Order: sequence, then structure tokens, then C-alpha cells
Amino acid sequence: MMLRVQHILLAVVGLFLLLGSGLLQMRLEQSRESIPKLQRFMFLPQAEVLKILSLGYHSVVADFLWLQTIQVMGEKKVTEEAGYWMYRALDTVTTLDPQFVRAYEAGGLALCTLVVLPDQSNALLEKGMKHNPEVWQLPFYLGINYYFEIGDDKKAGDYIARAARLPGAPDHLAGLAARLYVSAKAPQNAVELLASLYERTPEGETRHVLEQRLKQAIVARDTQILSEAIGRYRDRFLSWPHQLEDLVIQGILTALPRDPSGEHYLYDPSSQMVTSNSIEEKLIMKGHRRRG
Amino acid sequence: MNRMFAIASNTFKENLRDKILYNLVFFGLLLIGGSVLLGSLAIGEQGKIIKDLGLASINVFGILIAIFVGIGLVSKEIEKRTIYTIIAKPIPRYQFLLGRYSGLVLTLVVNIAIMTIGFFATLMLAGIGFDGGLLKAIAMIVLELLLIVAVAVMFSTFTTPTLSATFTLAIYVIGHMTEDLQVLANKLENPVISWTFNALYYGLPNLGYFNVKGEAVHGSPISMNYLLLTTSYGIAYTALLMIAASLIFQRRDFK
Repeated sequence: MMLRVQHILLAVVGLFLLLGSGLLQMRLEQSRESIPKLQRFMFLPQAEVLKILSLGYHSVVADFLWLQTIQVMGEKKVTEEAGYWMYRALDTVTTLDPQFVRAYEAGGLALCTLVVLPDQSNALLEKGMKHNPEVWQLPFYLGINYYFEIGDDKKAGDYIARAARLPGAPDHLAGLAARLYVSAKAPQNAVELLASLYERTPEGETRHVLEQRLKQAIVARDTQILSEAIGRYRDRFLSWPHQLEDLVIQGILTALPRDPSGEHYLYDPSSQMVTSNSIEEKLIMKGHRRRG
Repeated sequence: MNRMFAIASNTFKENLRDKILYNLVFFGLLLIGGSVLLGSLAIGEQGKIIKDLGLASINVFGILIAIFVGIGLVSKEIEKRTIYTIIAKPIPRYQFLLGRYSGLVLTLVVNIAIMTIGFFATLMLAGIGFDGGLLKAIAMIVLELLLIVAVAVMFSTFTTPTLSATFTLAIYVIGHMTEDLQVLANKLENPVISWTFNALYYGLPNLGYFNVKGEAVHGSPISMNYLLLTTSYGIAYTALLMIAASLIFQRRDFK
């Protein structure tokens, strides 16, 4: 009888404790709700230290941190402070697992879309490229950052040209890089890129498109050379040339280039515009950018 | 030799009786639960997370068994006083030790084989498919476990189970840190620290060699040459530890 009473008493106490701990847990959850998710993970050990402490389980620790980071990315509003934390977290994730390509990709994009931290985004993507030199997406995103965020078309062209040369890269990247080079007044780079890709591309639609782009790049390069020569002529003689041949006669150019169809370039003395009769479409960049 | 097999087989049966294989239930729950829960959160990285989680679980469960069963291999016999009946028999002590060691290794191999089947089944069910490269990482985990069991057995020949567990765990932790600590120590440019860490680096087993989980998950190449060298290193170190354990055990007085 005594034993039964003891058992009932213990069961009642146990039930109360269970109920109490449940209520306490609910209360704790409520108090945590007021703390932003990010703040709970504000303390993040240095990546190198975490790597040592993770005892060979680097990838799992990186996965855990990645899951926390994408929770922050998913917040309604990502503040700049959260952006800096995201960068640090992603840097740690990728130090623990340098081949975690998705972390570089998503991080690189998020740091320039959810927040505006192009330097951090570029640093992450550069790190990704160092560890994953065969992944075309990383230099592609870097190129996009340099075009949209930094306004450096030459660098954008360099990175997208690098992406275009990597296995699995879409065919249109070469054309994009060429446009960027032309926009950066470096059409010779566009010619070199397109010529090398044209050489190694087998017969087919892609090769045909590359050929067209190459012709456009050649026209862009030649018209730039001619325009610069016209400018020098103007500086020397204080008048515009009447015809392109004047550039050769006065020794500014040794010879006049011909367009890819072998025809002479056309010159309008009233507007000083140089055009090609056979290649009309120009390599130009269209679209808005944040800077530049 | 038959006596050694008898001891090994007995150790294996003893481990089964001790419900060692129950850990497989936890392994299954962790893997399947983790895959289902984390899969939807991981933005296209479900495959990587399941692979990481699976390999880490196989490693952790293996290490826990290796340490906590390994330290009891000799001490349990002493505690139960069954050691007296064994050493009274015409069986060399090293054979007894090797038998106990082999029995635990067999338990671990069976355990890991079942976990591997479960792991690959989860990958297939999740639509990720079979990835043979992961087997290389699992083979390296097995080698690491062979070494850790040898460490645990060596400590259990001359000290208490608590101290054996502490020392083995310490060796496991330091074994995974030596490489990084050596790099950090060299950065400090302090000759004393540098010398100490170099001594630790060369004196203690470098368990980092057995960690190819990351490479296997990302499908990076793991050369056969590397696997052979690491296997040789693991076997040589394990043999060294077992020789040390046999020598200590041989000299031990059970009066």
C-alpha cells in the first residue's frame, strides 16, 4: 500500500516536472523570438581555428554553417550588418570545405543582390576560383559583378572570357565577353578570344555564331583604330580628313585595314563616322548597371 | 592460431551480446531523419549533405565503438577475473591480445558494412544514386578504426578503463590536429613551440591522412598510390601499437 502511494506520488511529481519543463521551453522560445536569428550566431570562431577543432569533420561543420547562412539569406530584410556576417560565415564555410561550389555561387550572388557588398562578393568568388579553377560559373559571376557593380568592363570581359574558355560554359559567353571588351575600348582582346574559341570549335551552329562575332569584333577593332587615327589627324592639321586615304598619305597609318569581307571601310567626313558596309551589327553592351 | 580465432570469435559474440549493433538504429534514424529534414533546406545540396552526414556518422559511430569497447577488451577480463583462467592456459599472451583485437575489428567491420549498405540505400532512395568513390572514404575510415582500436587496446593493457578512454580520445583528437597545429606553430616562429609540435607531429599518428571524406563527397580524384601509402602507414602504425601492447601485457603481473 505504502509502495503504491510512493509510486503515485512519484508519477505526479514526474508529470509536474514534465509539464513545467514544457512550459519553460515555450517561455524560452518566446524570449528568443525577439532576438534576430543572426544574433544567435554572431559569435563565429575564426575559420582556421574551426577547421582544427572540427577534427576531420570539416564538411559536416561546413554544411551546418551553410544551413544557418541560408536561413539568414532567407530573412525578409537583410541588413548590411547581416551581409558582413554572411560573408564571414561563407568564408568560414569555404575554408572548411573549399570545394563547396554552391556556397561561392549563392554567396557571391547574395552579397550583390540581398545587400550591396561587391568587394566581399568578389573576394568570395576569387577564393572559389582559386580552389575550383574548372568551374565556369565563378568567373562568370565575377565578370557580372565587375560590369554591374564596379563598372569595370575590361575586368568584366577578362573574367567572362575566362569563363567562356572553361568546360561546360554556355556558347553565348564568348559573345558577351567580346561586347565587354569592345565596351572597354579593348576590341583586340575580343578578337583574340573569339579567334581562339573559333579555332577549337567544331563545325556547326556555334562555330557559325563565333565567326559572326569575330567579324563584328574585327570591325570594332578596325573602326577604333581608324577613329583614333582620325583624332590624331585632327590634332596635327586642325581639320578632319576628307577621306581615309589621307591618314596614309600623311603617315598617320601605314595602311588602311579592310573589313572581314575584304571591302574598304566607309567614311563620312561630315560626322567622322567609320562604318563597314558588310558588317552592320555592332558589338555593344545593353542593360543597366549600378555603377559606371 | 586456432586459439586466437576462438578468442576473436568469442569477442565478436560477446560484443553482439552487449547489443553493440543497436547503434545501427541510431545511425539509421540520424541518416534518414537528417536527409528528410535537411534536404528541403539545403537549396540543391541535399546530395552533399546526405553524403557528408552519412560518412561522418559512420566515422563517429565507428570511433565510439572502437574507443569504448576497445578499452574494455583487457580490463573487462581483469575486472571479471576471467583473465586468470585464460593466462593459466598454454596460450601466449600476445595471441590472447591479438584475438581480442581481431574480435573487435570483426565487430567493427560488420557494423560498418551494415551502415554502408544503409548509407547507399538512403542515397538511392533520395535519388542521388550509387557513388563508388565514397567506398574509398569508408575504407580509410576502417583503417583509422583499426589504429584507434590498437591505441585503446595498448592503453587498456596497463591502465584503468577511464584513463584508457581519456588517453585514446586524446590521441584521436591530437591525431586530427597535429598537421594544422604544426602549420600554426611554424607560423609563430618560436623554436620551442615549433620543435614541440614537430615532435608531436612525427611521434603521434597523423589521422588526417585517413580523412578523404571531403574529396570523396566532391568526387575529387583520390589516387590509388595515396590509398596504398595510407594503408601501409595505417597497418605499420597499428602493428607497432600491437607489438607495444603485447610487450606491456607480457610483462604485466596479475597477482
